[in-house]
Amino acid sequence: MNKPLLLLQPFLLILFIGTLTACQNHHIQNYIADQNKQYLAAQATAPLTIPAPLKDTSLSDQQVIIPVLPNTNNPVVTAEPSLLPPGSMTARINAGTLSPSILKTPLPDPK
Amino acid sequence: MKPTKAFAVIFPGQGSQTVGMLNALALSHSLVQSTFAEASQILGYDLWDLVHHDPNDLLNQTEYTQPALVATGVAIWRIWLDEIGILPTIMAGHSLGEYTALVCSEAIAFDDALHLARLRGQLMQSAVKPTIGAMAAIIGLSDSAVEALCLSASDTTHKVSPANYNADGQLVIAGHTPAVERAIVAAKTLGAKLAKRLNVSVPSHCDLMFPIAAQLEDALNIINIQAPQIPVIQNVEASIADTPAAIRAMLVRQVYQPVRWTATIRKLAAFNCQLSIECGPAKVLTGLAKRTAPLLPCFPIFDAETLAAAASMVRQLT
Repeated sequence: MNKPLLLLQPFLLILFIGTLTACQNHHIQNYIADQNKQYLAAQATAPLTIPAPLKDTSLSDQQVIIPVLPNTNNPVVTAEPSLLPPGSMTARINAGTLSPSILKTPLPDPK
Repeated sequence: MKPTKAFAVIFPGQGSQTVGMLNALALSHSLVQSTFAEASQILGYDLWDLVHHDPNDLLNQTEYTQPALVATGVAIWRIWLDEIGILPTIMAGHSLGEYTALVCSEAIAFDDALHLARLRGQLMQSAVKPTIGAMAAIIGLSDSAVEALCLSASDTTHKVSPANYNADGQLVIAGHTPAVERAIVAAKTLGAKLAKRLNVSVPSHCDLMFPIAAQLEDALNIINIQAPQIPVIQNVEASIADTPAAIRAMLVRQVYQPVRWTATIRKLAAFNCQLSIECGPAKVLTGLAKRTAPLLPCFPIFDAETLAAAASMVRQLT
């Protein structure tokens, strides 16, 4: 390879990387614009994602449309045996089973 | 035994507070004063005076805001129980409001929640220096568009990510200030109706909060968490934890992961709720619910009139 071409090599490399980055940014911008377009189109045609109302309750003067949805049983949270003494922190501090110093947690220095 | 009807009770987080909040409700209901007196005794300072007069401009400092909002939500809930006495099928809270929901569902003791809220506020404030992080509201772009622009605005040192999915087309982003600024520019370029920095000192619900998670977890590990009497949909997964340990784990993740409020409101509908009531000082969540689920009406309670209106609607539910 002749000398002038060799000297040009780093500049060609920078040019190549720059073009690649610009293309990538352009691609991201296009992707975002496309996503947004899809969202707006979807909103225009189907603005609601919850089922349409099936029951009109005619509540006094205030017209409230209430959606009636398939019944979903509320989940039950399972109780677990606690390893801690019973009661809130204040109760345990008063009972002497928790040190009052627990309420004075040292704070980290801001980063 | 109190009757149950198919409605939800929701509690707001930071941003709803105002000096003088609950003043009108306190004139007609002594439970407001007694709840704040109890909270003041637990916290060791006069919370009612702070909320009403805010002599030292503390109410907007997060370590004071958070306990004040817990006390506000609990006071309204106690009035509801005392006067109306109809239980909801489900509860949820936006960000800090999740702690209030867990108190009102009897999973966490009121005093524990106040201590936790204060600590959470202190930790959040101490997590980063004031200028390091920022938050911004992005309105008018889809969730996926905001997620993608956050990715493109982030680099190896400065990150930004969605912090609050508040309603369809209404997101809040948080992260390092330079990345948030880049995301604002990108959002405007993409045609966002609004892309604006918020006047907050703490970039909540993002990776910048991760360093405080361990300390919050330590605090949560020394409090008793019971199985809630009323299920609570938690923010990070918009789901109901099935054990107290899972409740605790989701509270830890919540501090550095986004609030999925849009999905939470949709979940209320999936649990057959016919309406919701907002227990807080304003009607922020009512507005968000209207956007996300217009067919699931929400009624705020912050004074005697709004209490009567919400009660009337709930009583008429079948």
